[in-house]
Amino acid sequence: MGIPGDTYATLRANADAVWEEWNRPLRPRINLAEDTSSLAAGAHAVWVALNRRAEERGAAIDLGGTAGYGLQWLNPLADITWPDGTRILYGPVTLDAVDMLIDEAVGRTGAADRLAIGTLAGSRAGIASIEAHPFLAEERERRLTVRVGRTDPASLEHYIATGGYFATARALDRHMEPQAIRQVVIDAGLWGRGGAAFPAGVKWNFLAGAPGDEHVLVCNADEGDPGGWANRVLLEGDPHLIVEGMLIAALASNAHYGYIYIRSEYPLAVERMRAAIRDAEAAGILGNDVLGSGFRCTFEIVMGAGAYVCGDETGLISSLQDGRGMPRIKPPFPANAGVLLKPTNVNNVETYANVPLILMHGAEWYRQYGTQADSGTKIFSLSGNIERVGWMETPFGTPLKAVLAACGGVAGGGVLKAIQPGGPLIGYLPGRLVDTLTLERAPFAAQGAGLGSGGIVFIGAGSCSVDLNVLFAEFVELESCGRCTTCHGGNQRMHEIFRRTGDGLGRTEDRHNLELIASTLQFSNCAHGQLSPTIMRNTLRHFEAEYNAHLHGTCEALRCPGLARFRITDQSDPSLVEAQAICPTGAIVGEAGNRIVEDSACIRCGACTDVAPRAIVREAAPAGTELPRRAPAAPPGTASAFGVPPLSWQATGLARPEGGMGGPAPITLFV
Amino acid sequence: MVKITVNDVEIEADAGRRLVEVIKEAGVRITNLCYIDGLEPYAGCRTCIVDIAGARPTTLQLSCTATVAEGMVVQTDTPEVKRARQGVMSLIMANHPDRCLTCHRRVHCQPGEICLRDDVVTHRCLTCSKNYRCELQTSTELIDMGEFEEPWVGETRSYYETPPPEPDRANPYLEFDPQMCIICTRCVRACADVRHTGAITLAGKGPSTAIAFGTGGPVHDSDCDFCGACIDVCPTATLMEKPNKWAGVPQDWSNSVCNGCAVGCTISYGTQTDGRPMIVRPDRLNAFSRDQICVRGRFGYDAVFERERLGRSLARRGERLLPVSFDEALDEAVAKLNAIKQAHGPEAIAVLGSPLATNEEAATLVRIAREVIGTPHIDFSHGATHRAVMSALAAGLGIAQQPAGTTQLPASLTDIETADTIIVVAGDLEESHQVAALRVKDAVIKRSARLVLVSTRWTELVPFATAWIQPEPGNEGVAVQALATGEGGGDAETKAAAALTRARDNAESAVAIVFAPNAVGAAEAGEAAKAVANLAIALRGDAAANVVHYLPTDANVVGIADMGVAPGLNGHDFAGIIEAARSGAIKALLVHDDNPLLNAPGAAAVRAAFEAVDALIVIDSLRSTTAELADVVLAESPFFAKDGTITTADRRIVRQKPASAATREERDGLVILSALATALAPSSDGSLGVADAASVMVGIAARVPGYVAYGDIRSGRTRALAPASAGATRTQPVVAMASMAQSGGDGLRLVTGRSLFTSWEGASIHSEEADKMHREESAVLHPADAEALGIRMGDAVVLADGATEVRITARLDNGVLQGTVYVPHYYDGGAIMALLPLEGSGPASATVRVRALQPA
Repeated sequence: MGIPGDTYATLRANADAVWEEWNRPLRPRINLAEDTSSLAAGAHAVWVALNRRAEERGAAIDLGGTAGYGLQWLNPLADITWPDGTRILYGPVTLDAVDMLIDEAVGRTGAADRLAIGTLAGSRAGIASIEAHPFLAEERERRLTVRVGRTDPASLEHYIATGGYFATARALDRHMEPQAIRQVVIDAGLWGRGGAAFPAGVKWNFLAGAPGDEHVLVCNADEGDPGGWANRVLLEGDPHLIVEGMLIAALASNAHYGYIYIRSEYPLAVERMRAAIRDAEAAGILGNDVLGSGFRCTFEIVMGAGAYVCGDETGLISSLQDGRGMPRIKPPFPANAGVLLKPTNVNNVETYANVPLILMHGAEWYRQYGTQADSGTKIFSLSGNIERVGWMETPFGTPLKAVLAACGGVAGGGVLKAIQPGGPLIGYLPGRLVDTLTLERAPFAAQGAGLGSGGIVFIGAGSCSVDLNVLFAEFVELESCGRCTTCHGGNQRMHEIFRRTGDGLGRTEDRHNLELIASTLQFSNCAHGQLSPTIMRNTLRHFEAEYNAHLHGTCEALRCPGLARFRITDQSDPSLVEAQAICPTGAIVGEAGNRIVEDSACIRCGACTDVAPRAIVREAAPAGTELPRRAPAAPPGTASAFGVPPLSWQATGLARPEGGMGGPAPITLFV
Repeated sequence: MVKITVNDVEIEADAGRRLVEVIKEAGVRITNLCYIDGLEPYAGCRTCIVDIAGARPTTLQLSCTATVAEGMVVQTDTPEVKRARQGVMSLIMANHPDRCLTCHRRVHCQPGEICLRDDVVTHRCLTCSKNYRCELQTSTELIDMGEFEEPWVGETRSYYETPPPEPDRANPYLEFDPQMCIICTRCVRACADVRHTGAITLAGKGPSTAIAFGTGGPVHDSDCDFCGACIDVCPTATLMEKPNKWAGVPQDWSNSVCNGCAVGCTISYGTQTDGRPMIVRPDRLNAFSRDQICVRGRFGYDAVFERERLGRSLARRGERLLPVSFDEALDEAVAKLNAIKQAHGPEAIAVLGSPLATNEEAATLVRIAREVIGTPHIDFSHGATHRAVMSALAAGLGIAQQPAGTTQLPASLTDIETADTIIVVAGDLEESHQVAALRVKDAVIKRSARLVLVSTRWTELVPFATAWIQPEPGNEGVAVQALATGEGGGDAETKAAAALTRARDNAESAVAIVFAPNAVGAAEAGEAAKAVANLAIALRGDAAANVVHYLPTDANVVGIADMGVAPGLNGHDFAGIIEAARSGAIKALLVHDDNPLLNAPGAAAVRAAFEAVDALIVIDSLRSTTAELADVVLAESPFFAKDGTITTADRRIVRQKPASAATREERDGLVILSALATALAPSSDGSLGVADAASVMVGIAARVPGYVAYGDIRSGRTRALAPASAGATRTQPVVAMASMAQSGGDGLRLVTGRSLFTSWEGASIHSEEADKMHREESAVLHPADAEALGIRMGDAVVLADGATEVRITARLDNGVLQGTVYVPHYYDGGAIMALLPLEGSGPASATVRVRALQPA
């Protein structure tokens, strides 16, 4: 036993020294952003090249690592910190920019100014501060992400030196009552960031009031929504913030054990969180005697097994107990019988991450941003057909239009057709609403949608809503846990109807059948089944004309496999050679000057128009056009029942979203 | 109790109960395809939707997850409810054949008719094995699916558009045809939550969700014990009994009892018009087994084909046994017995009964021996074991003998599942008495009971046990005695001692000692029984008798002992009869339903005795190995055709009604015995008063305390117990058998026991199919022993004791003790019995040499 304040002061003194060295290094240091996004953009190769070249050249520089700053279309990002404290962010730092960056670090010659994005610290003539970057125009103040991109996420010292664990130490030092901690969180108006938006402090009250003293905390880091990666930013960029948030929640609800359930598709997040827990234990921040206070608290990392439905808290608990990842029947609720039937509280990563800020600065401070109903800030991940893909932390209430403007508007200056906020269960809204929507709960709820966990996919005019429905229906079908016949059966049928419609074989009675599915799926057990027809409902409401056009053989966006085809318009274009080579099914046949696209072999993936945009066009398929060949349906109970892999995001005309589709995927697939 | 309203009718129900059960009990029919009564709801099928007034967010709620509350108003048949259920059902039907279910002509069609509406004739209800007994079929009719639009016809992956997955027909018991599966997971939960086996899992997700056995391979490669609990709950034809899958709908049901072991699970035979049983379902009458049986009960009746039964009586003509009429056979048998009786006196005749016989048959057999023939030499193969156990228990627990000579243990097996501490002393309870093992598991899983297991080899109960004590074979008694006195210092002994101390110190906690000794080895069983009694006394003092559950190996051991199948004054017991027959003192043997060549150790001596006697008269339904040596065989009907009762291990009287009429020249056992009595003693009062089973029972009730006439029997509930007459308990010294080290020799100690899959009848006729699974037909050796002997897994080995040899396949398993070899008792028609000595007063252990069979 010791005095938490004193224990913290010792840790802080050491951390401050490390932090000072980080900000004013003895010799220039290049920090490469290492997060899943930049790794997917080739950061690892850049890292290897930086090390090799720095050694070969004998450059008097050091190399370090951070997490990305959020401007992900400029990945890989890197920054240089000079001994005088000046720090400039560069990107995209590709392999050919490595020498340039080393030159700049060593000589400050302005060699890399072409790649300069902004200054993170200090100033340099001709380079604006990072805050002035147009992508960050809607950010007011980085609170949750204040360290992301600036500190080394693997460094406990950096976290402590920037105020981390201060709030915990103070609460322990002053013997703050659990009830008081919960009240601050309630006063701040913090609600769950996972999508259900339940007030966090109230949920903790349930846990604190549950019988027994074996209360369990669970952090839900099973972020599976396509287009949502807000949690990953924190898991990879500031792991100790989550650890501290859970530690405070443990203090507030008399819990001594916590699980952090991370999807297996986030290996880097798992690694960083493991390291954070290990370091915190070594420093006496976790364990049997937290900061010398006598409070005991232990956290454990559990990896998911690739099921989207484990984002549901009861599904997550089942998976965490080594059971099948299936949401169970409620009641009992986890607050009464959760992990191993002990009282349990499950919160999202971002919910926990808000807690140290609230405890540090108070509810009043927290409410400076946001609206009355939705206080604070939120991390949004933005992707789709936009010029600038990335994440930003903005206050609630920010106009969506301004966010789109910060993202540079629709790619190529086209029309915004639709937005898809919060994942495939939450909604699909027409693009015209972007002018009126603000990023808070009420306006989205009024449109039958929600904010979900903070992913927003902007969809341009090149996409077809029927085609997108095939994609979303396949996703919800594949991710059904298999309990409710309504869900695993209904989503099969919904997928089939949209796929058939896209093949030009839509029927008038489909509309009736889709409504039957929508009404029947309501009788499912969990949100996955109940909400899986949301996108379809939104489509029929907002894009009815487009849907009906498909029944009459027209796909205006020329995306649907049965209603569009590819034709070679310019036999002389030399890029046709590459197009022929890239075609995955060998559908482009013939010799130079006589090439044609074989409709029955073509799967309408669009790879050829990407490489030969002037020679190959999409066009409406005349009646009688052969459909893409598909393997016959496999018997039930076998994988990939359609015999073909799911359509790639590319084929939908969207940029690939962040976050993946729930299934295990190599990380190189991400942007 | 609260009041709720269901379809405008007010009913009373317990608050908090699952609404669907209450609705069904009120006689209202409701679709519920995934719910299993008594288990937590799975809520997967979503077909049990009802309207609950005021429910949120919608009044349409699942009745399986809803719980009864005061004033609840429930409607099960509003148009909205029906429409919702139809919508859900249509999604189920999309992946299931439904041509007949939605056809307007379905009420006119008969099985076998060509379908005029449609060319898809192979996937219809009328061509389905579950037709007319299918829960899905009745469910769809209940909600008029024929009137519902057919929304999903022709969709790419709907039933008729996809090739069906392959069925698994590779094992002899369970057929698994996943094309019929609606993924209700009842089987998964029956296997995991009812049977605690967990052989069935839900695999995959989304459209590839499917039921899988084990890791998805064949059923017989999984942990499946073929108990068939999944078959009972499957609402479709996905899981069916293989032998009778296509037998159709039973015309009638007949209450009966399984004679696979002494638990006496009640079963119902579904019978066809020709009177043959075609299907078995558990019958809830036995309060202990309730709705559970095991592979023996479900498939045992079918272990022997009808054509393998005798059908006609046989008589020896020279070297051969030839079919003769029943009367001729009876005359010949009577002539032989009378001749011997006249020439050598009644004591030259001995009678052997059987634990497979009914109480009525046994009682009649005893009267034939005692009153008609006048011999005291009557016993059955395992009589010595049973008497050794009973006398040890009676002496220790202070149980007085009833006037008729029977000893009655008062404990009821139903106490096992409510016990807090259970001590199991058995070879392999899971294999010998599976339903009893199930109730032990129930207590461990549902009540967190502590299980102390004393068994010589690894069994499926080991993972459930707090402590597993592995004694030397034959010295179970010493191990149990150590528990009683708190000796022994091993890890398991320490854990066991802790559990037993808690039980002893808390008089409120319930204790059960389950004792299932091997049928072979009277001396060992007797010592173990003394130790069991001592342990019971140590734990519960004067109330010790109430916690001891003795499970004999065979079905009606308790019943025939009550009836008096035991040596009379100066009578020989089984071993004595065999010795006397060999020496010529006994010249005639009357054997009813028993096959000592299969059951008794010392097979060579038994065979010599049978060959030595002048007359061997056998009454049996099978041409057993004993019948092969007989002079006259009187053909009896099979056990499922018998009328009568048996008495279970915990003294429940279970009524068995015939599930079949005689089709050939076989006679009911009681009829044969009655005719024999009449013919043997024409001068006396004739047929001993034997008219039918009911009147025999009247006689039994008058003589044996606890038994009552048929009218007063509640089958499976009434227990044959006279008012308690417990005396003082007495701790008895336990004698150690020669340990393996003491007995020395360079061989391995031979251990046997009853295995799960092998049927008595199959083994009795030496059928190669006696163990249809062929899972257990191997000698189990410890890997260390095997290595020393140069034996590998799967090698053919020879077990030898002098000139006697048994060939068998070797299996290496460290679940047996080093220095022992386990061979199932029924392997190769009881071949292993030739390696054991004839059971006298000494130990029945044997040391055998094991060697790998050299390639020729």
